Amino acid sequence: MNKDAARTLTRQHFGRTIGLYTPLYISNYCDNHCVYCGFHSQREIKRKKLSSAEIEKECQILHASGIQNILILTGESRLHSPVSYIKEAVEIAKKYFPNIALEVYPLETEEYHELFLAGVDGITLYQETYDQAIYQKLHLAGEKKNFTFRYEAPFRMAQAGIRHITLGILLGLADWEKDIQALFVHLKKLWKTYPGVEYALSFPRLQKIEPDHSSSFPVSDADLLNIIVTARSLFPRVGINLSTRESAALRDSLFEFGVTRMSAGSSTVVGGYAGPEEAEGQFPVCDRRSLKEIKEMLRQKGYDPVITDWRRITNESI
Amino acid sequence: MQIRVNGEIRDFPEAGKINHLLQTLGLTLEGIVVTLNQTILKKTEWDQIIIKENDVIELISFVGGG
Amino acid sequence: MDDPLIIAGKSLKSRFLLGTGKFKNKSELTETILKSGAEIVTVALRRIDLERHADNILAFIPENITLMTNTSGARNAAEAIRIAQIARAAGYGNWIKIEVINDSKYLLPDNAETIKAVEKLASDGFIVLPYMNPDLYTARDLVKAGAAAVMPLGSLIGSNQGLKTKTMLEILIEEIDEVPIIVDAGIGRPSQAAQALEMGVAAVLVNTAVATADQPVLMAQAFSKSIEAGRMAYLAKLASASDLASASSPLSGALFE
Repeated sequence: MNKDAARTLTRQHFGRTIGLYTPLYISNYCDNHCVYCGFHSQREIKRKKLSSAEIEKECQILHASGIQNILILTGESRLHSPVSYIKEAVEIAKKYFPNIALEVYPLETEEYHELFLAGVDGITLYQETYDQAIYQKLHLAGEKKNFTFRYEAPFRMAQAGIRHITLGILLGLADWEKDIQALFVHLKKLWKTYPGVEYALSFPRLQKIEPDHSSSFPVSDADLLNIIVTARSLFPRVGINLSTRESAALRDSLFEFGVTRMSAGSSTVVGGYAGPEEAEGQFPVCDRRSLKEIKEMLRQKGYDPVITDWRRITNESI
Repeated sequence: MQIRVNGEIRDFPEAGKINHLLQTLGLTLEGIVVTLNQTILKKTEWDQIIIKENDVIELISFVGGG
Repeated sequence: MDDPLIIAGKSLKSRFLLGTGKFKNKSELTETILKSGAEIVTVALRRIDLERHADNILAFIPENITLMTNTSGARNAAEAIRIAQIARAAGYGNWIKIEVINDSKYLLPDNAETIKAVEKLASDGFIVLPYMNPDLYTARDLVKAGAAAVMPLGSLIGSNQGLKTKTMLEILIEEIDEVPIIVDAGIGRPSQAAQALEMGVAAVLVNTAVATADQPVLMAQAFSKSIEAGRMAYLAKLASASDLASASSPLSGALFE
């Protein structure tokens, strides 16, 4: 399928809309050693975990900026950010945002269910790469070494009632053609088993994190467009995410061909909205535009920025 | 005595069995199912069960169908 | 070519299921079945007509054919279950086509009651093939309930209108891979049967189009060939249709360069 057909297909299924959300990092403690990540356990960075009051402050700031979809992230540490801590963050966020998503370490079904009942609407989980050999080389320590537990997590989420699930890989870790194929297989299996869930894909491109790791599998802008167009043509109704790892210029030029969600006004620093961004973020944000600026850009291109399309009344046990 | 067969009242000798009824009616025993007062009878019961007064019997067989 | 149709573990060569209703001459039925190549035929159950000593239809059905009794007459699950039990008591096997119709205008099947009937009968050991209005949720529920196949209608019973439900059938073909999909009802021409097989259904059930043809035996043969052709085309992977012309001979090496 060519890119214009992908654009038409996207508009047919999603209209001229882009969903906007903002990430909120509440803890960067991590027990894993993933060589490519800014937060990995062996990096000497300032570790921070927000208190309830600090979380509340972040929420207030984001709320005031107009954001209504929040993505709460933690580093992967059961010790420092247990499920109870995550749940508490959700309870606080509920006061400010009608739509709450999470990006946290893989959980058990009952834990996902607990968070679902607490008000979580969506969960994002990256398999990073489906190449098991490379996966083992990249994840040197911690729970994340368990490839299968992570792979099966989206099934547990769906079983627990989670309505929106985002799958993803980090482009650049392995041969992207194989990884994207494997991502599609993962999505197909999930969609077949749990057809009632709304799915989305995300494939951010890895940046260099000197001196630890740089990509031996570069992914060009043309490749990225190809991936977006292919995903759209194979899965007309899947959501596609484009993060702020990409530059403003690239996002603006690519999004029409298949993207349905973008982050805006992003900081990947824990507590980065309240305080100045002294600490290190998980990755350097390339597109630093505010929500207002992104909305303006979208409107100029004839798109309708959707701040929220989902307002939970209650997540009831199913 | 009187019994009901396929919706119609019929006379039938006392102490008669299903087998007799089928023979009387000139029916082959192949591909037939008999129900007696709503119960589906096993073929082996046809020469065992004694028909009583006012019994309701259905004789069912295969016909063409899509 | 080894391409059997497997239903409930039974391996079948023919993808043509034949209905035995509406034939004007029962004597024609035997040859029609033989020439069709069908290995499964459907029959119904009725009270014996004690006035007319009609020949038992079983006498006209060849020996090795699998009989599938339909539950025609049933307006709800309870009635369908009862008919199935009666059918089994006859001693000709336990293959049942569930047909629950509470609608004498369109003869559309009641999907909800059908699911209930399948649940009960499958758990009682019957081999159940439910006739359904093509609906993805119902198909999934039928599979879960233990159906050996699903039989979505192509168009209304006896209408000979072909695959009016094509879009819904395509969805079932795409999503239901646990059991065979058998299009049942409305197939009026051999070309429609071929179309169904080309799309990817496992088999078709045809009755009216054969039984009411001037020459049922010849029509059965026609259907048999078209069903085979459709299946072969499906296996050969049809070329995709295109709005643009595409010459069969490549342009390079043209005669007059």
